[in-house]
Amino acid sequence: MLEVRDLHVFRGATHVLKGISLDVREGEMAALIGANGAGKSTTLQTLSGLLRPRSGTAVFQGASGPVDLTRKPPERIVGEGLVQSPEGRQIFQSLSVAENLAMGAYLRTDRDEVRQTLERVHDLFPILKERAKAAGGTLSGGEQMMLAIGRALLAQPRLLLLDEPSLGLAPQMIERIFDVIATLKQQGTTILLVEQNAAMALDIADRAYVLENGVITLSGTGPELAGNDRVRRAYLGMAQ
Amino acid sequence: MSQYVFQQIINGLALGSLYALVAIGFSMIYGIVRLINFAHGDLVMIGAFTTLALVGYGVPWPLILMFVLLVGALAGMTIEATVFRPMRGAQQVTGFIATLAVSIVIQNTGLMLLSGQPRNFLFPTFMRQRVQIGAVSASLTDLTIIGLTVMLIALLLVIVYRTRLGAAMRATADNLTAARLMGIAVNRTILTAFAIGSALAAAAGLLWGGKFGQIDPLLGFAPGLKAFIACVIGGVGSIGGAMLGGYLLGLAEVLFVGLLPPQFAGYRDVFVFTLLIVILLLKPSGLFVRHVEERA
Repeated sequence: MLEVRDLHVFRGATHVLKGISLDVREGEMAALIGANGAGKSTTLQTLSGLLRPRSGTAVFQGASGPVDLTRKPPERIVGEGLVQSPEGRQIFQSLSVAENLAMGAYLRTDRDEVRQTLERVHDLFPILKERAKAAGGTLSGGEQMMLAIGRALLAQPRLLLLDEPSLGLAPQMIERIFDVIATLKQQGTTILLVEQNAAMALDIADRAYVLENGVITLSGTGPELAGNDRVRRAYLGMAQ
Repeated sequence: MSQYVFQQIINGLALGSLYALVAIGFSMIYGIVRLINFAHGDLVMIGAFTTLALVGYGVPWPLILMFVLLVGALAGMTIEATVFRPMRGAQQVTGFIATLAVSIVIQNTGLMLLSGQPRNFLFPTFMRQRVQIGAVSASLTDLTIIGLTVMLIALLLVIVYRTRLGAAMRATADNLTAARLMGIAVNRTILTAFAIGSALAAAAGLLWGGKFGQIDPLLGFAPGLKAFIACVIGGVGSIGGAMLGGYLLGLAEVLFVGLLPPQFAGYRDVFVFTLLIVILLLKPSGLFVRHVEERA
C-alpha cells in the first residue's frame, strides 16, 4: 500500500532523513520507532506532502491508483486516502468539537456516509458526542487526542498515519488510545504508527522499523524487534 | 435625550462603522497570515475612487456598491497572490516591510494617475436630508452608513460562522499545518480571506467619501491606522473584537470632541492614541479576547 524508497529529506541545511526505505502492506499495522530527533515526524510530514524530499520516492496506492507522494500537495494526498493525525494533536483550539470533526471530512461530499463515519467515531469516543459544542481548546489532553484521531477517521483513511499518540498522556489514557488503535486495525484500517513508546508500539505492530539519526537500522515483525537485544536495551529500557 | 447628545452618538456610530469595516478585514488578514497589513487602508482609497468614477458614469448606487465590493476583492487577491504569497514562511519583519511597500506603491500610483488634488465626493442630494425619529433627528447619510455596515457585517458573520468555507478559514487561521493535513487548500482559503477583508475595506471607502465629502489618494492612511488601533483595542485576530473595537473607537473619538469644551477638539488624535496606550498597558491582548488556555 505504501512503498518508500531511498528518501532523503533536508530541513534547512540539516540532512534529516538519509535515504530511508520502508513498506506498509494493506491491512497491517506498521510501527516506526526511534528516539527524539531521529526523524520520525519528518518522515510523516514528508509522506503527507508538508515537506518536499531532496530525492527518493514514496508511492502510495491511493483511491485513484498509485500516486507519488513526493510530488503531490497535501490536499491531494488527503483526497487519495492518506491521512495523518499529527504530533502534539494539533486540533483546532477555537473551533468546536463538532467543527473539528467536520474539518476532517472537509474533502468528502457524500453526506450520508460522512454521517455514518461520524456515528462510528462517536461510538469509539462517546465523549466527543457529549462535548460536541465545546471549543477544542477546552478539552483535556486525552480528549484532544481522541478528537485528533476522530478527526482523522472522518477523512476515511485508507492509510492512517499516527504521530506519537501517547505523547504527554497519562498511562491509563495511553492504554485507552492503544485499545482504540488495535480496534481500528481489527476493523481493517491500515496504520503507520510513529512512537517513542516502543514497548506499546511493538506490542501491536505487525511490522516495525527502528529509525536512528535518519537511517533505518533495524526492521522486522513486532515480536522480532521486541526480542532483539539492541532494541531491548535502547528502547525498552531493559538490562542485558 | 437631547438632540445634541443623540446626534453625537449617531455620528460616533457612523464613524465607528467605518472603522469597524476596515478593522474586520485587517483582523481577518492578520488572523490567517499573521501579517500586519499596512496596505489595508489603501483599499479604502481604491474603493472611494472606484465609487467616484462610477458615479461619473451615472451608474445606479446598488450596482456601484456591488462593483466596489468586487474591485476591492480583486485588489486584495492581487496583493496577496503577487506580494504576500511569495513571502510566506519568511521572517515577520520581511512581510511587514512588504505591506508598507505595497501601501507606498498604491498611494504613489494614485498620486500619479489621479493627482494629489482632493476631489469632491457627493452622495446624492437626498442623502443630505435629516430623518426625524421622535423628538430627535439624524442625517440620512449617517443612518445609511450604519445600516449598510450592519448588513455587511451580518453577511460576513454568516459566511465565517455558518458555511464550510468560513469554517475552513477559521481552521486555517487557528492552525495552518493541521488545516493542510485536513485537505484544506490553504492558499485558496487565504486568498478568500483577503478578498472578503479587502471588499469590506473598499465598501468602507464608498461610505467614507459619502461621510467626509472629499477624497484624495492618500486618504487610506487614517482609516488604516485607526483600523489597526481598533484591532489592538478589541484583540488582534478576532473578528468580533475588531468590530467592537471599531465602534468603541468611533464613539470615543466623537464623544471626546463633542462633549468636552471646543478648545480640546484639535486634540482628538492625542486622545485616541492615549486611549490606545492605556489599553495596551492594562490589557495587552485586547479588551474582548477570551484567552483559550493551551492544555497539555
